[in-house]
Amino acid sequence: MKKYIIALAATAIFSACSDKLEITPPNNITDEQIQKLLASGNADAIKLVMGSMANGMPQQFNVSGISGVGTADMYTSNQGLDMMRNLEGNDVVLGDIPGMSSGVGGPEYGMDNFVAASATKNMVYWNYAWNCINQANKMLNFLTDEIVGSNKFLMDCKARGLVVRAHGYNYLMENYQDAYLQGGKDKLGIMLYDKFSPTQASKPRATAAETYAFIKKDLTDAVQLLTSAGIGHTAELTDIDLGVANFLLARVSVWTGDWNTALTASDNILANYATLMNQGQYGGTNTGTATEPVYLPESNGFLNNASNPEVILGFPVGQAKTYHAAYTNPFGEGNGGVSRAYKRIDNRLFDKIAPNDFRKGNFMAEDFGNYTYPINKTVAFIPKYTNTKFAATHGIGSTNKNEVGTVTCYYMRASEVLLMKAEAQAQLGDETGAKATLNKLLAARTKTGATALTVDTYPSMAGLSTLQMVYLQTRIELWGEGGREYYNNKRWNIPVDRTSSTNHQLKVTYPVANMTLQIPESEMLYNPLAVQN
Amino acid sequence: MAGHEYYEYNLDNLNYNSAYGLIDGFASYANFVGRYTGGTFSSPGGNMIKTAMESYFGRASYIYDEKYYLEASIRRDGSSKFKQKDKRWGTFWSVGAGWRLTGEEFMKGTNSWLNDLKIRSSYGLIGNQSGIGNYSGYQLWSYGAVYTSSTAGTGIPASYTLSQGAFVNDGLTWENTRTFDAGIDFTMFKRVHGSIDWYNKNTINSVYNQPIAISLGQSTITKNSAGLRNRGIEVDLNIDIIKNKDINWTVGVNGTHYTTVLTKVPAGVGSDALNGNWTAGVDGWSANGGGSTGETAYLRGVGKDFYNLYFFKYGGVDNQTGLPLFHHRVTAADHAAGKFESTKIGDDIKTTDYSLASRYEMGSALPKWIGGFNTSFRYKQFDFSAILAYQLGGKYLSVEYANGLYMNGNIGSAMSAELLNNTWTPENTDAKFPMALYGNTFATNGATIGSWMYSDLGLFSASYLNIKNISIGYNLPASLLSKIKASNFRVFASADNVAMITGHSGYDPRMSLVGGLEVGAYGYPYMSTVSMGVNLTF
Repeated sequence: MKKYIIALAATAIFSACSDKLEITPPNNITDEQIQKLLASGNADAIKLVMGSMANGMPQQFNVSGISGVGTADMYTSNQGLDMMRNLEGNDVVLGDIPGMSSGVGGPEYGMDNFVAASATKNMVYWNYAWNCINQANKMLNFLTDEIVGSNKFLMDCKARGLVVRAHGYNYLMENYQDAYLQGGKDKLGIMLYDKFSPTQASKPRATAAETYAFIKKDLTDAVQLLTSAGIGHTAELTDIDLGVANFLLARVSVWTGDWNTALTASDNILANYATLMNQGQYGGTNTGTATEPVYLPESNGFLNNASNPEVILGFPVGQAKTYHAAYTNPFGEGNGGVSRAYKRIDNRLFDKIAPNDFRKGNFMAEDFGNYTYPINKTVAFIPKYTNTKFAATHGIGSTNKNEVGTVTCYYMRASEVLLMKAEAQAQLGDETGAKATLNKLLAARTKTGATALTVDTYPSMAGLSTLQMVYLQTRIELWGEGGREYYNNKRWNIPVDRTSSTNHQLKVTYPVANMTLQIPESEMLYNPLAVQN
Repeated sequence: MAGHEYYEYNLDNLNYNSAYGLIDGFASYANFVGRYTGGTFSSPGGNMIKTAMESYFGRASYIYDEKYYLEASIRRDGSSKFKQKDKRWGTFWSVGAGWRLTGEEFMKGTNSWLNDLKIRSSYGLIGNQSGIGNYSGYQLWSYGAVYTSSTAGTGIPASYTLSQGAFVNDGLTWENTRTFDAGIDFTMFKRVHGSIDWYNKNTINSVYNQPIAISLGQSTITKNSAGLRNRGIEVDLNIDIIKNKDINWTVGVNGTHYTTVLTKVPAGVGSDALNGNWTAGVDGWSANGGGSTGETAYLRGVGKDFYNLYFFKYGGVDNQTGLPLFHHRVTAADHAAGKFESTKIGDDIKTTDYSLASRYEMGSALPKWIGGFNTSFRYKQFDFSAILAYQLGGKYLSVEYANGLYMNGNIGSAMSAELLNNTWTPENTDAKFPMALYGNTFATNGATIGSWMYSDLGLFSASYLNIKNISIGYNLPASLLSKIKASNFRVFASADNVAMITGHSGYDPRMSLVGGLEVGAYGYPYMSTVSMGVNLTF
């Protein structure tokens, strides 16, 4: 028997009314919507869009969520990246027990490989800096000279983008090439992109000189724009103003040996930041007892910008990233506290701080002893040399010790400018000027009631050259801040040598030559024009 | 048969505390920044999903004389996932035919032993859009605010932030896969039933995250630009060995061999440094697709296996220092720098300087052959069955070993017993494992030199034999059942996951969630269970 099973094959195939399939993202704002706002000709709408983009720029200095190595904030925040650098030097001792794990900075403190092209702890620096550059370029794509014209609002927006781009490139140069004055001058720089477009052709690395010319042009353009737009130095700490632009310009200038620019940029800032922190504001002060300490963050200028007249760029509670505080606060519930990864000062530097210098009080001269951490009631022994510079037993605005950790943060402050100025003066041969600048800082750091310290009376500075005096005071003043010691070691050609320290847990040496990171593997693989260091 | 289908999915909710919108009349939480305390929600939120799909399809099949089989189908699908109108629709089809040879006159002679023989084949084009995001073609912006009160208090914005998201490719379209399948089904001696299938699936425009240098702005761009080939053979055989009143014994075996190979990648993928190949990280492993990592796990390239593991190579212990040795492939740059000049470029040296460690292809995570056995045996009232699974070939990197059990500096944590008396000491310089150094320092254990930077010390064969289930039972005979007025009475014992045989103890290749590696907290072991019971039915 034959059996047929037939079904009607196919029907006319319609490409029917496809409007039903036209679905725009219901959950997100699209490029089309933004373009429509910008094309509207409505000044308020344009101001809102460009202003909102520009407002994101300062946040590039205060970042979390960097991709590359997992989710530990040591690797995903710029404060964490700076903390790794702090641990890769001479002056910061990590804890008092060897073998700290990766989460608390053990590998960094041990100078574990952070320079290889394949090292993930290299990649995060690259990714962070490029994110700054790319975010800035995304905004700068909209802000051509023709569009900006003489519109003061757009000038301000553009200046912010230029500063962030310069910061990104400077960050890359500090990490991915030898210091300019230590041989880096004649080497390669970074590939220079002045617009955002993932489909543009990859570029080769520019020379170091070209890269710094690009950075300085961005910064001088920004200074020009901020001046023309009438922004000047604002009291607002969270914005990119003349202070921030000049700070970066000074930093780039001392790095490249452009001492005159360093001097003018520093002077521009210092004219607006005459007051330095006083003894009461400088670090933590115990207002409780020896066994029941009370270190209030409100009065500590390093933890509360309201008590710090020096802050040029900083962020308030809520916006501030608090990772640095968690790494450094011995009474905190973070790595710097309950996890016992105490940040301590190398005894060799401690011994160099004059007895009448109140900065010595930022470090425990004796063992603190046992402290009971509030949340889990963990008891841990806090050893001698642990910092109280960043110490707090409470959070800002709280009387509950469980809420320790609520603090503000800052990224640039005036004392560093003073030190950059002194360095520039010394390099320019103005010994008297340099000493006078240092004396200003020393006077501000002398204990209340004592005779003001000077370069001549500071015991450990006897016999030092003016430049060496600047180096020493910079190490003391900026201890534990922003990875500055590492970067300064690199440009001053100071290797890590912990062998003669009594309290370093790992007495390693590490040459300056190995402080330059290799270009990460991913760039080498996917940019055919990239050349390795 | 013909049909038309339209499918639309809509989900919509928006928190009441949303305020300060950017675009008038756009009621999406992404368009608001308000933030208030005291309510259920602390910030604007909600969820809106809208997708649509429209299809027209038809199918015809024809069977003649139970011998000849024909089938054809065609469909046209449109999806809202594709932004551009001309990329939205795809036409897909298939044709198939079968022939039962045993129905033919000329096969009469084999009827005594060949009871059934059918060959079949099909060819078609199928479309896929599953890996593509709902609104993948749209470049997105994110809108936020900095608030006047910095603690989570009032929600009045002091200023707004707006940032442009990643660059996207708005020209994505359907993935087209050409499929070919040929198979044979047979029954012999009324006892042997089997089928063999060979298939070849060629995806010609697979959606691909093409890596680019991050200096260009982001790490990847998605394109319909890759070719992927899945090819394999499947075999299934069941034999009734003994079939009589008292004894019933059947044995079954099945298995498959398959390969997944990239056949095409977009121009610009791959680097000269890797001979045109490139590295890739593992795919997402959590339910929502999260957990993926860009860190290197595979070396990929045209013609290469897709799960080609790529790790550092452990070179044993340096007899002098007790430190681990790693293989380093000598490069032209080495020679230029005056290093390893006595070794040819491309050859290996071993070094304790782990920063020089090179990655090597370690073989595929995919098995050569994977399948199972089963058997059931009944003797009168007793019955027995067993199910086994096996895999032959394939490599498996045990993250548990590499990051834990072989970390010889992790005093206080679990470590492999293999390390006992087998780490370097001045007296035991030929040990397999490096000197145990107190402290969790990456480079001193030989198994890992950084986050996701594993050596092959923790790489094992993924071959295994697993006894998945064994059960035995006894059924009360009918004569006794009638006495207790029951219709069925069975006593049984059953055990699951009875035994696992691998080349090395302490890992389970089945835990590989991401192509050859297990991932940390997701590595729950399979449970072994034993159950015993009685089934009684009245």
